[in-house]
Amino acid sequence: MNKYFRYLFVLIVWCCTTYVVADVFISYDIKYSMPTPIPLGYKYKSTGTDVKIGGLLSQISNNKPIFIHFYNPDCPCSRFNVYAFQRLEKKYHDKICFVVVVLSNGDLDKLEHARHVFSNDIPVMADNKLAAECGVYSSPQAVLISTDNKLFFRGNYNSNRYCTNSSSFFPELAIKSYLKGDDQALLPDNAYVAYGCSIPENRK
Amino acid sequence: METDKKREFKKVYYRKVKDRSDKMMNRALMIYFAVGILLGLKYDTVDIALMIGGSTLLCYWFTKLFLYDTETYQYLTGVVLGIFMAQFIFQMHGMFEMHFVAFIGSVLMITYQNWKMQISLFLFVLIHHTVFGYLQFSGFHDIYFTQQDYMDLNTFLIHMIFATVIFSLSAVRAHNYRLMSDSFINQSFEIGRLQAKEIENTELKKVNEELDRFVYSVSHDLRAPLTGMLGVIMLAEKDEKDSKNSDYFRLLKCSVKRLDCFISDILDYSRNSRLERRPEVVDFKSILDDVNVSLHAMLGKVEDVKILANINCNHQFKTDKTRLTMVLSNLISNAVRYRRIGCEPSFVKIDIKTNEDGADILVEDNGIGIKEDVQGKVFDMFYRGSDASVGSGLGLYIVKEALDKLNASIKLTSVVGKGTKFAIHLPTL
Repeated sequence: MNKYFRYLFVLIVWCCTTYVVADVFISYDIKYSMPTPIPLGYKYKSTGTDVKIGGLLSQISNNKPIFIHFYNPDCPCSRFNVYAFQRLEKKYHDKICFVVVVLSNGDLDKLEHARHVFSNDIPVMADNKLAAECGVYSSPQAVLISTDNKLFFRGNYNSNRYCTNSSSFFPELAIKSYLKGDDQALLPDNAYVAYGCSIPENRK
Repeated sequence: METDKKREFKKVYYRKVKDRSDKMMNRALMIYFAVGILLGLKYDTVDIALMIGGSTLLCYWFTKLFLYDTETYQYLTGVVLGIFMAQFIFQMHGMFEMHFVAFIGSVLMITYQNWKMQISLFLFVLIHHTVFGYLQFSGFHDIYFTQQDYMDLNTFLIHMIFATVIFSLSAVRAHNYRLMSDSFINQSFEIGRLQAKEIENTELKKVNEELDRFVYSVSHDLRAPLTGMLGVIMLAEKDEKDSKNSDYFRLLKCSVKRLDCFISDILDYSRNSRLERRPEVVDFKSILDDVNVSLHAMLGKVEDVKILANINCNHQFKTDKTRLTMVLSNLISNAVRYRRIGCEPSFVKIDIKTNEDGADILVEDNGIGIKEDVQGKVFDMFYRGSDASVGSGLGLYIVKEALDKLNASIKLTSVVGKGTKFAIHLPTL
């Protein structure tokens, strides 16, 4: 083949590759920075709303505020911020009741797997209704319920998907605010706009 | 200067280096691709690994396929390794430590022995680091470049300085490998050349020795019948009363003697080249007597030339007697042969002095002399000063060769119409 045609062909291949690579990077960058789509029929729960917690949870809480970690083992973001939840539990377990709710859509294997992931002292349960009750439609999400069963905080763990931004560790900021006796936590908007994975039930 | 053969060898050698490096790089890129898939399984980014890694590899292989005979695809290697680095960082959502992947790539590329390949990877890292670092820390959110909270200009500069140092070290290593390969090839060729020369020299030496043996054998065998002929001529000359026939016999005798001289010279030359030096204590008087005897045999009785010898030997002197006799015999016979007839009485003065270092011999005559413009040629083989010269043209050549064997030096001074001087310095052996 003529030398110039070969160079021309290679140049075309390079341009196509550059386009594909740039397109993948940019589109995935946009995808990751986009909030989780709000499912149809979603009922928004504002802070201060009453939350109907079951008898079991009420029993476990022993009149302490409840911190619920919504965990989905199929979601990479959820898997990667386990340590952030564990850090909180270690720090505030004497003042707050920490609970893990597995969004497994009834899959017992996943529930069992989650029990291995978290400490034995932390109750791990599967309760998809609780997610709807708290207005949660993505994972990972944190919820703080006051002793009088009102929603004090529902939001993201961090402004960064993998909890690497220590200045935006929202659940801890909410806990501090609650323990201080504030009526509500004053947090930036990106603490509340849910991102991450849709919960399995909503994907159907 | 590089020969065609060496150039061709280098071409083949570097083609092999390229093929070997290509194989290694193919394996490395497949591993990079596999790492991308594994990271994808953990971070839920398999599709990114497939699309970016796959398209980059395809681009690399297409380029290699179409431009294999150029270095273009080699420079693309740096960019491909850089894209994989960016892909890993992105797949791990800004895992900054994945920048180290660039350094692995830099080391991998050393195998090509082409320092310029480092430039493309360096430029990729520089642009990637600068653009995305600037975007992320100027408030552009969700750029998957680093999970660090903060990175100022100083940090950026330190990162780039370290990256530059590592890429430079890799470039220097690659270049050194190239120089080593070149040097290895040059040395191999030099050894080969010397071996070929050695074989050639051995063959030449063998041929030369055979030729010497042949010359000696032929000269030796020719002298015997000549001596016989000379004896018969002398007998016939005695019995012949006719003056005309006597003249013919005299001419015949003269021709036979010239032929005998010539063969003697060839024999001397042959002896000088064949025989090893045999140092022994020299008695100059005895040598000069021998020379006189052979001179009479060669030239007949020369009454008009006085041979004056002044021997002053205070120290014992050792040299090769046969060669010294050759030298003196040739110089004295030349002096006698080329004497000036008709003017003042001809003489040949031989002045010999010995000391701790050796011996100084001066052979001086008042003969016809040698023209200045031919003085440099008289020691050449078969050189005759003029057509009138009666010698073989080997005499002074044999003198020079014999003195060379004795590590001696000779100096000629001559003035036409006045005479010639040969000053010899002989070191003791």
